[in-house]
Amino acid sequence: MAITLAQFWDNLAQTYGPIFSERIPPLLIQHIQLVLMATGIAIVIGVPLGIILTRPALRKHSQKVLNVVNIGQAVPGLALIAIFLPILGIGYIPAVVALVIYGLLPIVRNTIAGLDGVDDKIKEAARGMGMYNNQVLWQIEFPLAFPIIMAGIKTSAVITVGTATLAALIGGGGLGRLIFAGISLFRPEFILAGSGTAAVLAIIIEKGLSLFEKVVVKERMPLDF
Amino acid sequence: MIRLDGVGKDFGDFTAVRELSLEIPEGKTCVMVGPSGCGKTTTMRIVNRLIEPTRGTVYIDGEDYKKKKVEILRRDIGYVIQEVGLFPHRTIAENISTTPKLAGWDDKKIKKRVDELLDLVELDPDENRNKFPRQLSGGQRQRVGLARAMAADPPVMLMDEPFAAVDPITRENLQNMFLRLQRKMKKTIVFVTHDINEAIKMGDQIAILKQGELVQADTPEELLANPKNQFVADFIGVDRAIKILDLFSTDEVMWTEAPVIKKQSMQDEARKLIESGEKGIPVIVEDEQGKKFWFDLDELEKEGSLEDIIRPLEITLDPTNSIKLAMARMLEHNNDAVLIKGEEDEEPGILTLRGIRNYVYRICESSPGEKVGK
Ligand SMILES: Nc1ncnc2c1ncn2[C@@H]1O[C@H](COP(=O)(O)OP(=O)(O)OP(=O)(O)O)[C@@H](O)[C@H]1O
Ligand SMILES: [Mg+2]
Repeated sequence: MAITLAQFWDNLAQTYGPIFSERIPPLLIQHIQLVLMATGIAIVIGVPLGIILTRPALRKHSQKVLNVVNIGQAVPGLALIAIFLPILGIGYIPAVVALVIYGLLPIVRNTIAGLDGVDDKIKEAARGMGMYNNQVLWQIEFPLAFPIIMAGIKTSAVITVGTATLAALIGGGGLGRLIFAGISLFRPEFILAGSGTAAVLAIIIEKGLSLFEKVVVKERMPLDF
Repeated sequence: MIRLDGVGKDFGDFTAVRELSLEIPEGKTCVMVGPSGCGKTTTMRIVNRLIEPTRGTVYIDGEDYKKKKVEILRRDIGYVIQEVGLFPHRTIAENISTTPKLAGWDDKKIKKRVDELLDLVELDPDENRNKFPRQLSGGQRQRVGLARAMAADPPVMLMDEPFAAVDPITRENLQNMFLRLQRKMKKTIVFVTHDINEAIKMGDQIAILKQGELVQADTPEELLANPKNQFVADFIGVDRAIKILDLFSTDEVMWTEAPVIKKQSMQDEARKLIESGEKGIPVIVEDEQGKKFWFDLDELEKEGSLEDIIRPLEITLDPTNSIKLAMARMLEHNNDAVLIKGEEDEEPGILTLRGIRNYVYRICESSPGEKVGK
């Protein structure tokens, strides 16, 4: 039975219209809250951790810490959430904790890589001119490492948008609820709408962060970075 | 004044600098030369305490430098590092204002200073102030590195191969620019280079290092005349005599009281000179158009007709030019003497090939080092 294009659009609108107008908005807001909170905390923990681990006194421990952080990401997201279930129970907060642990690695790793990547000669010049260590860090090392740190943050945020769909499993809400509802009710349009929205959200966050970076940095970075 | 007192540095088992004692007087430039890895950069880094010496210490103006807070110490020491090390994320103006900012100058004063320094290193302030280092050529970057090190007018400067990464012509320009500046600024400078020619040109004092040890520290003249051993002689190179040419200016070697005679009556006037007992001196001959020639009085005695002997004096140089330049000009024009401009109303001098030859030979001959050189 052939259907016309108009009928096709009609069908589409009938199936998805209510999903997008009624179900998605509250879930999307929950999802965004989850992602922003988790990524925010991951940044607040990850960047300082990366900075501390590149200071001379702690540099020798950086690999050990990275290994630990690595475990956070090596464990599948689902398993991570399962592990936290008995410890933290269910709900929003356990979901955020799991997501923070999951999103930490790219941020710590890139912060370390970015700071380590700053040319020794440049650091030596800064110190040689009489800058204090914290001046060298904030005026020289950090701005030069910034694009790489930002790349880590973007990676982390994008991963978190995806992983956050699993939060629904422990009552953390978000777009995952729609997806899992779709699975259990055998409603593929729920699955599609939920994951599609998550994908678009990931892209928007990525672009948003890139824009932020551009505004902050203007044209201040060397081209070959 | 900087005094290194038995300074040494070990990296684990490896001794980078053994035990170095060296004194650089106020306002003088000491050039450290030596093969790669002999400890030049290490010594520089010790002087501004980027690394701690394993042995010994450094006195700056008579005071043990360990008594000062290290960041404060460094602000009084301009540091031009090997490979420049400009901050890539900061504009030229921002790079140059680093130390003034650290010293807490106000913005207006800093801005003025930046422009002044850019002028000093011969970069147009309006054109370059807001550029980033990557937008400059290698030679321009080195100028900015120099300006940055001088920004807060530190009494001491450490310069680690500041002109290494540029072509010979640019390097020569930078060297000349720096010499001009130093004549005014009179900073106490430690300057590192691989290049013995640069050392001879820039240094009041040259320190030759070998595997972390000081082999010889002397004035360039003394070093060229008296290399202490085979290593120094080899380092200076087989063309020691040629290098000496760089060290002296024309006014140090020229004749100032060469007689000037008229071309129409030169035969008679020359005879009179000989009769009055003059010997072996250059004589300047001037014709009616003011064209100048010259001959050596000794030649007249041997040959006879002056007309065949006199050679044109076509080249005029400044008293500050090196005798190497004079030599080069003579070779180019197939002349064997040049005129040297007199200061204001003084008579011009004459510099002859023979004069140079004798002068250089006397320096080389007087030195026991001559036996060392190949
Ligand atoms: N931080 C360090 N740890 C270990 N060894 C070092 C260190 N810094 C320098 N060295 C060693 O010390 C020696 C002297 O190094 P230095 O950088 O002073 O040489 P240099 O005379 O400046 O050479 P170049 O002319 O190539 O710049 C070298 O053999 C180098 O490998
Ligand atoms: Mg070096």
